[in-house]
Amino acid sequence: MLFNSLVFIFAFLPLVLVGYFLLLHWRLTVAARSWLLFASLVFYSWWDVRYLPLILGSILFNYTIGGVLVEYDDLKRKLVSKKAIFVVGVTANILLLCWFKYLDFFIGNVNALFGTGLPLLKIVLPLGISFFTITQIAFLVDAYEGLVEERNLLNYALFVTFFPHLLAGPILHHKEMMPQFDHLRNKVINWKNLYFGLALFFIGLFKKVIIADQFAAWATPGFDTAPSLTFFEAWLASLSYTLQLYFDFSGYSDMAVGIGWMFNIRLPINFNSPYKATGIIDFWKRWHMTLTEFVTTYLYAPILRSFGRITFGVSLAAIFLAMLISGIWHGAGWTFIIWGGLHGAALVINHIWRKRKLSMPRFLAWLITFNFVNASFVFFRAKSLEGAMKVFAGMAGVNGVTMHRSLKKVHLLERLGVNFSGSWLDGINGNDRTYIYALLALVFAVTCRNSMQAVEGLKPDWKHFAVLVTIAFWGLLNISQVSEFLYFQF
Amino acid sequence: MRYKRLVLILAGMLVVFVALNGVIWKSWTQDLITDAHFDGGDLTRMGYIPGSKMPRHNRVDLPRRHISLKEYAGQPVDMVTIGDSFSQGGGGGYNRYYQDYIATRYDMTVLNLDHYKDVDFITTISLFLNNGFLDKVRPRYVLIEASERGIKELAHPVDFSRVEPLETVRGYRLYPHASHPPDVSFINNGNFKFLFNALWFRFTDHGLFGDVRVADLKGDFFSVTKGDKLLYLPYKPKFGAAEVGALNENMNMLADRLSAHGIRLIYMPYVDKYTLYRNWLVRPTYPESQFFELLRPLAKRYQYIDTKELLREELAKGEKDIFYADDTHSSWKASEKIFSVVRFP
Amino acid sequence: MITLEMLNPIFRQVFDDESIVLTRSTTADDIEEWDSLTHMNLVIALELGFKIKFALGELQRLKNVGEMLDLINRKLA
Repeated sequence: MLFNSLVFIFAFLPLVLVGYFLLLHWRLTVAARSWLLFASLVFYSWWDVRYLPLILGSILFNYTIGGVLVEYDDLKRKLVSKKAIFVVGVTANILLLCWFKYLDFFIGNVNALFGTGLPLLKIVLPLGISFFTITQIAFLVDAYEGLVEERNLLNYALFVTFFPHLLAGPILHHKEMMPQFDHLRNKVINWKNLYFGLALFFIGLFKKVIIADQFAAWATPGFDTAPSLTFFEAWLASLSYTLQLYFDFSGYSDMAVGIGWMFNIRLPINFNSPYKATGIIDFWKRWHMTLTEFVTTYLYAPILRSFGRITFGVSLAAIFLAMLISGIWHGAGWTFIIWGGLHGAALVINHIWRKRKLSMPRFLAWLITFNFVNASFVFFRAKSLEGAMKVFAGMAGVNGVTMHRSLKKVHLLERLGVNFSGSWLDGINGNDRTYIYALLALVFAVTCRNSMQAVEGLKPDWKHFAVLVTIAFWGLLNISQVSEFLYFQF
Repeated sequence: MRYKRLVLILAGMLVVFVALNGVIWKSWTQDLITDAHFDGGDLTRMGYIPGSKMPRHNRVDLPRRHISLKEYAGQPVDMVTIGDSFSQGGGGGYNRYYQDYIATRYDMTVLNLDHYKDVDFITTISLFLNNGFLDKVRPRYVLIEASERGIKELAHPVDFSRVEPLETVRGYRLYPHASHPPDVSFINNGNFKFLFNALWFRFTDHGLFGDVRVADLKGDFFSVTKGDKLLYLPYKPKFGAAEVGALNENMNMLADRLSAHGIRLIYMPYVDKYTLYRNWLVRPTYPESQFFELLRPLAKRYQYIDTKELLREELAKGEKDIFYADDTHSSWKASEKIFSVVRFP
Repeated sequence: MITLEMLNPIFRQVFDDESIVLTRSTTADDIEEWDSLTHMNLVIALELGFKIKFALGELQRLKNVGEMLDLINRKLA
């Protein structure tokens, strides 16, 4: 089920909320927790029930391994070492992820390398598997290192499946979630949380439905269908995607956090105006923040530790390696590996720059950072390396510069070799709105308060309420859209 | 407690919102914007205008029917046709293909070619001639149909020497004539647009959303509730005598090339809805396109079908539903009229 | 027993800043270079320097020198 679906907003969410608070009202906390777990499982299996056993199996497996690790020191007969159990547990998780996510990529590369014709397995990626795998690996690590004290299957299962974060994060840590589920007793309905949660949810919905989906309409043809792109088409396609991704992903995270608030559950914040960043280190403190925290804690630190000494060079190598792995985690494909590698390299450069105490005008720093991020997302979005190269070729002007024919009168442009056409943005299904909206959205993302800050300033007065209602209805109406195009064209 | 009040008011508003959407959907928009109830009707859908709907379903009862290029299996053909959406049964409903009237009336085998995305009709026919396809099919006639709106495309210089193998031409991307309306939920922005357009149309000739215009006719020209309303898309004729002359020259050149192979060219420009009905408007807002008037006197070495003249005769007689009230396309009545008058020598 | 004086050189080395003087209440906000990444460098340097091992899951929360000192001493006890 998607947050931006009418069945979620008008049926699922109200039902779960009402049931939850009724059960809490009757002091049935175990029932309330079970109700949330049940709802989360329904949410997960809405489109495809086939993977329900998979996620349940994964939860039971990890809970059991975690339990053995926690109680290991008290066991009388120790058949295998604690480390062996831990390694088996983590490996099983990684193998599961590899099977579903990377096997076809691996087979494809083997075929390309050795000229073999092994058939692809066309495995469908189960929803949320990347997320529920890494949160559970973190749980195993903590269990192994003695940080897990509380043991409760219901809380654990709820921590993994809680529907606001299940499909796309924010990435949760059991330490911050399981105690919250344990203290549901105190969590009777809180109207302020409910109101703020609704506000954040509808802001997120607006970002997704009104902003992100509009940019998707230009990015998708630019990346997927256009055989080649001219200069402006390519820049607007990449910019559209960069804006789409931010408004989509951060909108989703807003909705997730907002839903959490409605249930009086605090989820961590995932975005903090990333496009305001004036450096790539800064960017990763603002973009997908829960992932950054996960990567620093569970990837960077162990890599660093394994080197056995701390030098500047070693920490740079660890950064690069961690980002490379994070790139692979994002998706099975060379484009993602390159994306991770690029960010790793950029972080390395940024750290060297900082170490040397060099400086740069703020605007220039922002410009370089944003353009780097924008270019890196071309790899992130493109379906193949050729697809990415197509966009880069256009951005570099290989296919020429075409502008709207009304600019033909500007002779300077003509002398510079600019072409003119009425259909200058056809490759991305664009029109004048494309660059105007892209510019507006960019200025908005760079200068305005983000949704979290906006909600913090929310007051219970009619002025704010009117704005909220407008945003809410605008978003709701556009979940399902009709357009005034000729379906049967001349 | 203020928060409680706001949450409850918001919840109440959401309930009303859902109910209102449901009412508008069931009463009007489901009919207007989905094809759940009938085929065609672009203008009522794009303008969210109830009252001009002509419910219809695709149905053909003419004994002889045309074939498409996909169905063609090498049989002898009398006439090859090519054209825009008017040649693809654009209006939908009863006997939507004019080609079926030709096939039945003149007892001909009619083959309709595809409309390719980036190739004009003259070039397409020239390509099929140059690669030997027309010699294999051996038709007596080639008919090019094109809406008045698409004139400029046929007035460009044509490279008659261009040769492409049959497979290449047939592999060209098709012009996307028919696409289906997306699946929409009963809560959608169409309901909102419907409300605003209904308001706008009270005071203007256009809605707030979409390009559809509405004008008053001097009589009931359509057999619908609002029979005296003309729904149309505004159309600015961006051509003059030079373009029409160039088009005529292109047609003449093609006619010469075809006649060398024993084929006669027929050109049927299709009159635009607004152009056709303009004489019967109470307050004609836009100038009338002079395309037909410019083309008529020119010397032609092809057969010319004057749809404007033929269909205006019908309107003058008070015939209803020549075009669909809710669409940019003509109905079966227009096809029947045209091909009861035209003779193919 | 580890003392503040013993932590100081490690901090100076990791953050590349000879002017650092630690107190129990020093936090990440007081040292410009102390962010989540250099924090990891610091913690691993402490592990190596005092031959102890932290749990990964507790690293992010150690942002105050006093707590850090207490945890190290607990691990060494």
